[in-house]
Amino acid sequence: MIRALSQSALIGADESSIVMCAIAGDDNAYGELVRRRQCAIRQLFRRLCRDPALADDLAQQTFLQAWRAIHTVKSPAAFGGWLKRLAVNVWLQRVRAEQPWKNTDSLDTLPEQGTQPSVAERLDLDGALATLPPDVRLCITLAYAEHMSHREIGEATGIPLGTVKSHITRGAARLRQLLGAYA
Amino acid sequence: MNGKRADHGDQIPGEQFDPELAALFSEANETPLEADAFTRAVLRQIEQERRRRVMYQVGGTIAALSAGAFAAPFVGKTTFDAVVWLTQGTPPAAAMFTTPAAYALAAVITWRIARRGFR
Repeated sequence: MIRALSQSALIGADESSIVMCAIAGDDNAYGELVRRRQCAIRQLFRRLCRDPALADDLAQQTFLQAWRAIHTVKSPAAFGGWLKRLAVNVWLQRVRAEQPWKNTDSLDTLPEQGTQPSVAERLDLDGALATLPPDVRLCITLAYAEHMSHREIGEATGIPLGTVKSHITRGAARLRQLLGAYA
Repeated sequence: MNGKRADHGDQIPGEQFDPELAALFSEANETPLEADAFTRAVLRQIEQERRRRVMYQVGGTIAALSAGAFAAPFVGKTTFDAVVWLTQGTPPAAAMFTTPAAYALAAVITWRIARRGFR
């Protein structure tokens, strides 16, 4: 039997204990998890879609889905990774629902490297990211912003490892070009 | 996914990693976001979802009870007819236990239970 923690105890508690309470149905504990993880998940979506309102909607969807499925978390320590995978799935569902006819894995959709970037793109990392095809943007964001390995990205997104590697290599090259070698 | 790299120096072999691009990402990641309004919105959605679930449960229970009440007379009559048919169509149950065959069967069963108990 897991005892619910008071609001003040929640603030100082370690995440594993809070996850256990949330799994047991404590909404205050789940609220504390949202408070702690919201920034990372919202930043991830902001980077992926470049629209703060949409990013917050997707983050809310992620937390709602996480609340529904929190009993499936195998180990409380794995909550962070599990939540991130859920966020990636929410994003992929969104992209595939929006563009079902487009093969977002295709590197053919990557803009030509000879194309000159605009001034705004040069200055703005998010702007430069937005020019990449969704799956390339996702791989680059997970690798550079979320510090995930190629294998972890492949597992989270369902994209083959070879494709992840090539997305990251070509995406990074394109970003370097767009950002004017970080000038 | 839990193999989070604290910095980009401890690169996994075979993975190309651009340190300058990584630095740009980490600088851009430092913007804090207001947590309270977002958390409240998520908790409000959870509350709505919980209320919706309760409504579905209550609706489902009412539907099941209504269907039960509607079908009860038919089910009761059919059950009664079946019981009447069974009791009239077969010999009285008590008589079955007073035949020599029933005594023999009971003896065998008792003997087996007793043997198992003594082991």
